[in-house]
Amino acid sequence: MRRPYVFVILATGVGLALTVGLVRSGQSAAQNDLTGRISSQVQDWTKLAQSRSPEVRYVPGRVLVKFKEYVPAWLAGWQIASYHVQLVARLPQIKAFVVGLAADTTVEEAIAALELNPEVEYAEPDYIATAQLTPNDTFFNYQYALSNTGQEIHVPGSPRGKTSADIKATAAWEETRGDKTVVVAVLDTGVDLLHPDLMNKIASSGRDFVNGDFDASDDHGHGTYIAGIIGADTDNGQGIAGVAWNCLILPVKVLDNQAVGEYSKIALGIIWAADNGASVINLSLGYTELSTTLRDAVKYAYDKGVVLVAGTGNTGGPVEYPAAYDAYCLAVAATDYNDARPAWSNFGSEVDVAAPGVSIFSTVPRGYYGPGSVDYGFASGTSASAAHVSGLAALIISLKPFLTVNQVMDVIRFSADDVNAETYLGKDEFLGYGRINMEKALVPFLIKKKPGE
Amino acid sequence: MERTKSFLALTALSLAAAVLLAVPLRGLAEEPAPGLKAGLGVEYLSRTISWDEDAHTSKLGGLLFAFQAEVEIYQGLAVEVQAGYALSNFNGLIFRALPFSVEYQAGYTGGVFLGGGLKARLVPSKNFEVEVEAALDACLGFPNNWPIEDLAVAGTLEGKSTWMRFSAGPVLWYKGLPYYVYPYLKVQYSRLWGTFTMTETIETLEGIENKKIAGSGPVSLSLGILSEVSKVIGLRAEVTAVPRRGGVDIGAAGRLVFSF
Repeated sequence: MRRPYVFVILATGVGLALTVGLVRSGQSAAQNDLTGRISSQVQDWTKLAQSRSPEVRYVPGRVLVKFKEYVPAWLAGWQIASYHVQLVARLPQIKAFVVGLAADTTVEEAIAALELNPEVEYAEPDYIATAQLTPNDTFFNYQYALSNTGQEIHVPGSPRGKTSADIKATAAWEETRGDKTVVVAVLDTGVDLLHPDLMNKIASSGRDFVNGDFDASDDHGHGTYIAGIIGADTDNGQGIAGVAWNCLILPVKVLDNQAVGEYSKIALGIIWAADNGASVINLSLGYTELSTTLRDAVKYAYDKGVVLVAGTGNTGGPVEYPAAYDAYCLAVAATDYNDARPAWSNFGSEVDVAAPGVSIFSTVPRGYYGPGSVDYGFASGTSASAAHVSGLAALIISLKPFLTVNQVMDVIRFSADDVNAETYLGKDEFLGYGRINMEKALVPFLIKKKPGE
Repeated sequence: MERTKSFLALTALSLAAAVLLAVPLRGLAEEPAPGLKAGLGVEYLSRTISWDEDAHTSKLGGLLFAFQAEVEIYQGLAVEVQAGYALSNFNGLIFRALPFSVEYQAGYTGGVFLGGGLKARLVPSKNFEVEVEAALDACLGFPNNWPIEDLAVAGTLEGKSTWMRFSAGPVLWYKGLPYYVYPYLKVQYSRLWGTFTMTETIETLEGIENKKIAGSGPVSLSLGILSEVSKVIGLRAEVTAVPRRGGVDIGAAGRLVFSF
């Protein structure tokens, strides 16, 4: 039996060791098995059901109505006229009519009135469909976080997620897929600069504060994993989709090959990223201790107009730093494929939002699982959650470069879905404002006629 | 303030243009002064509008109700003013410069409708008559509020629209039909422009967008008919087409005219 193991990287070093938010499941053998199974499922990617907007969009002042089979067309037309509405179009093949309403009649009122007529089979709003963009990346079906259709969230036989427990990426990509001038700095263990799903998305070879050079290659795996979630090459016919299709990744290595790094290096990395064109800084790292140096570095970037996103931590305890620098940093907790909070997701009043962080599929460095394996894997942690939010921040900045840092942060907060409203209504210390919703953050919502007008 | 200035400037411009148009009238034969005309008018406006530097288009629908008065101030030169109520529909207008983008789908909103114009009769003959018209209309919308309910926190939107329309051009009347029925053809330069200001407030998150709109198509063609029911009462109906890239916008107007 395949026994997924939990691999938690702990900062066991003395001094300022940092825990990195990554719980990795799956290993080489499992991955190879997955590879085989993936190949048989690749053909099915187009069958993905689409995520659905929670906001129902329909044409104001118009309804669709069908009369019962025995009602002749002339009588149906006469009946429609008797409602003092306007016949906009006929669909004779299915015996339906498109009906325009008087200015003072709402769709709901019209449907209620029509359904009172025993000769009406149905009356319904003329809903507005939105083309939703599904990328052609081969493993997109494994990315429930972006589009949860109730698919198996891991290897075959694993649990199925709850439909729509996702961040509504496909609908949002219709509005924007990001701009290549928007750069997300990944402060982490580096990034595999030649990974086929990342190499075209890397802004530069970055900066390595661990080894003191300008080659931020990844010698651990965590940074490559995070970079993939944020901005893997998307719609390129291979691998996975990134949240921010067109935005670039700036690798900044501040954690060593054990995924451990000093605050001083992290502070240097934050300042360097802010000075070198980053619009967003992803900080999938943290530790329990407060540091003025780290806070000042975070504030420096914030004051320069950079959006900082950090995971809250994976110990089930209080929010770690830098996520806990409430005024300057978006603190991101984790949800799972059912929009539930995993117990290990850190909590506190600093939590702003949540994003999927359980069994997230992303890139790993080439050869990570050994020869012949795919360079992708599953892992869990608020690191992954933060990466989803960083991608969203990059898309917001791409679409609306005029927004201030605070405004970008508020858009992310206020557009979140309060998925734990049944137990904690409103903002709470576990999921903040809720699980992020890219569609609400990016797609225009409708100003509708006020009820009673 | 800026809008008021713009309105005054355009009114002055229209008046100046009409005065210039009136100059050739000086040599025309004198006719008895027709006195004062008053009436009630209704217009259905449908005009494609472009916005965001012509990147997007949507429709402006309008229902305009106005009291109208026309006075001949000189031989062949008349001044017309109108005032009333307007309903404007900007459905489809998208505001993307707000923190949260919104698409207007709230239908008609009310406002004040004001207008003024000048007419100059240039070539009176037995069966044909040519007029030149210049008119400026303005719709000053009332502010409206809408709640924002789909977000994690409550918010409000406040919107207010203002639009103006300038038209000028010749009208060819045919007066050879019996029964006091006079058809006419109007070809006009027609410009429509305006602003829809939307303010978004969601807790501390605030944004304001002034959306500039411009009507598509610079020329309108109208076919109309005036029927003099009696010496005092006349009925006028008009259908207007505004050709634009990719189609044509159709509007209509009707007017009940009392002559004194």
